[in-house]
Amino acid sequence: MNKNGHFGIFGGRYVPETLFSALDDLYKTYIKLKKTPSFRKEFNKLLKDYVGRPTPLTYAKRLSNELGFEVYLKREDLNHTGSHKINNALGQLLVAKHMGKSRIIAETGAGQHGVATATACALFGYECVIYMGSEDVKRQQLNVYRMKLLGATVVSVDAGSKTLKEATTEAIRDWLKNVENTHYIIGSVVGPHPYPSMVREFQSIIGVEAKKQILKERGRLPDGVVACVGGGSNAMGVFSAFVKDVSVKLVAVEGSGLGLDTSEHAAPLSKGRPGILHGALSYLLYSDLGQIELAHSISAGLDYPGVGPELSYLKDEERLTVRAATDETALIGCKWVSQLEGVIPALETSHAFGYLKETKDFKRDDIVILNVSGRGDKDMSTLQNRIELD
Amino acid sequence: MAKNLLKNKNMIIPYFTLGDPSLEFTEKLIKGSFEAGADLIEIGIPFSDPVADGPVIQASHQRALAKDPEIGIEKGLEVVRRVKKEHDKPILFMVAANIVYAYGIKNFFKDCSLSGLDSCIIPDLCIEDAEEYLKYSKFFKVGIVFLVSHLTKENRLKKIVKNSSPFVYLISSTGITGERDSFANNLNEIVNNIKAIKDIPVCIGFGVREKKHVDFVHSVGDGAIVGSYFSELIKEQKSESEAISIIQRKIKSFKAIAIS
Repeated sequence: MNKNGHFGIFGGRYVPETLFSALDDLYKTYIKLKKTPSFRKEFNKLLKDYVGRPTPLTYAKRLSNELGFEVYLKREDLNHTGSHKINNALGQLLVAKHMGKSRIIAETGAGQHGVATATACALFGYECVIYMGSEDVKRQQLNVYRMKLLGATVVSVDAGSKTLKEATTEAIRDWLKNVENTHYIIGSVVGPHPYPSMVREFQSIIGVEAKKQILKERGRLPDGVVACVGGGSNAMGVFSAFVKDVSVKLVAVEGSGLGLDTSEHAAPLSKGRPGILHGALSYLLYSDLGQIELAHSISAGLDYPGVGPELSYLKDEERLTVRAATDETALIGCKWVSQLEGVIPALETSHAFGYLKETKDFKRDDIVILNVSGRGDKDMSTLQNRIELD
Repeated sequence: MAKNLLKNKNMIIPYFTLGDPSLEFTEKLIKGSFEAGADLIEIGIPFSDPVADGPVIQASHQRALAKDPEIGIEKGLEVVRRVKKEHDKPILFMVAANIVYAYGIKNFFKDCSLSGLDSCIIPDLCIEDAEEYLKYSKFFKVGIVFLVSHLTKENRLKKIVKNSSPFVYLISSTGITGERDSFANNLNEIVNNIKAIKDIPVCIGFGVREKKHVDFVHSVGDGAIVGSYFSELIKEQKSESEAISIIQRKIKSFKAIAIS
């Protein structure tokens, strides 16, 4: 990454001028803080004592038996609040505190980032406003209630596809107006510089732990690391420790909705092209005339037409293996791992499991780490409607 | 490119969304506005996700896109070519970075040049990411107007002002386009800082809607950009001809007050 936040052609700061100084201040503060031992100590202590890290690396015995290769689950679902999102929310809140900001805003799709941000704000006594598409408010009601219970204000956004894209746009508009006292906690490795690299670094703990754990357990690097990709924060979090280990296949599983050959998917790495939205140049779904297309995925967290710039870059560098799983495949994956391992994954993560069940990317005795980005409690109403149980 | 702009004071710059409600209307509206004394006109190319715009302009973009999903740069340039046959006043596009990117940066500036477009505002393009845009802007002689806010730091202001053409767009205060309670209190100082770098007109927009705003803006800078207010007015009228005539009356009154 260069000083203006470019990963190859991707990234940058495509924002209205009003936000530029805030991004510049954020970058400078963050760069200074991450070298400061007291900041790192404070962050690591929170991750240990409040979040419950390190999360385990669980050997999935029954899954492995069925697949013929060995699967380990990185258990981000066991974090406080139920997903990896808390790592970044706490990190950014500490940065906001050091910048003297008094108010926090965030966007959320599945609600996991909203819950994590509301949690961090409750812990530190900050005013918190969460933007969420009205469609997502409906399908993730449990998380909406959790955010409110934590003291956050949830603003339902009723424009366009009524999902993560519009929630992000509204959060940016709020920030444009209140930039002088507000910090915007972006939940993924998307948005203008420095967010993609900052969020990746706050999430990199996932990969650092997983690498240490697998080396201790098996004495060698894995052959593959698998993660679902919406914006890409859990993927970059677990991939970053392995990017330089070229023998490790990094598999990014996108949501292909009703299928990659339809227009109803959320797979910019598979089907998009470079474009500009929400502050960065990255792979994006848009028409020939430049209008952003609506994404579709059964999982609110993957339902976004763009993806992080660093993942876009890794794809172009051919460091990434890009795959996709449909809504249907994700549902099958969810039931499969629930009944074989007693782990009910979030619908987002279920895409990675669905992929794993079908894939021929791995051979006998390979070692594969799958990042379980979150737990499935929030998805019960969607699952009840879609999976019939006797 | 518009060369004589420097001499103009108290400019009125209306913003109109292309194709809201139709291309024919936009063309008539532009011609009518020039006849009423508009100094420069900004044509907004509708975008699905106009991040910096408030609810009024956003709704206007959505109406235009709903009416004609194929609306965009090509159709905008057709309108520009027709207007330019009758009026030799500057016309600018307000266009999202992704629309320019999708069209191809080089092709965009080339085609704009061939159609006589004077300049463009790309509201989500910062000077740090503008290298390729500036290269073709200079080559094809179609300007880029950059935005400055009261939060823009001095070290960047110089580069922004030097590359902005034919004017600098000063954002009245933080926030999105449309109504607001107040303007930033140091606009005067920013205008002076800009003029110290380069003798260039400074036009002010975001929330300029009433006569008192226009007067204030003219007392501080060189031109007033009026967008959301005109969009509301147009939408409220019963017929297209009424919409054009009320915009003409408003432009005349804004100009008259500016002179008095």
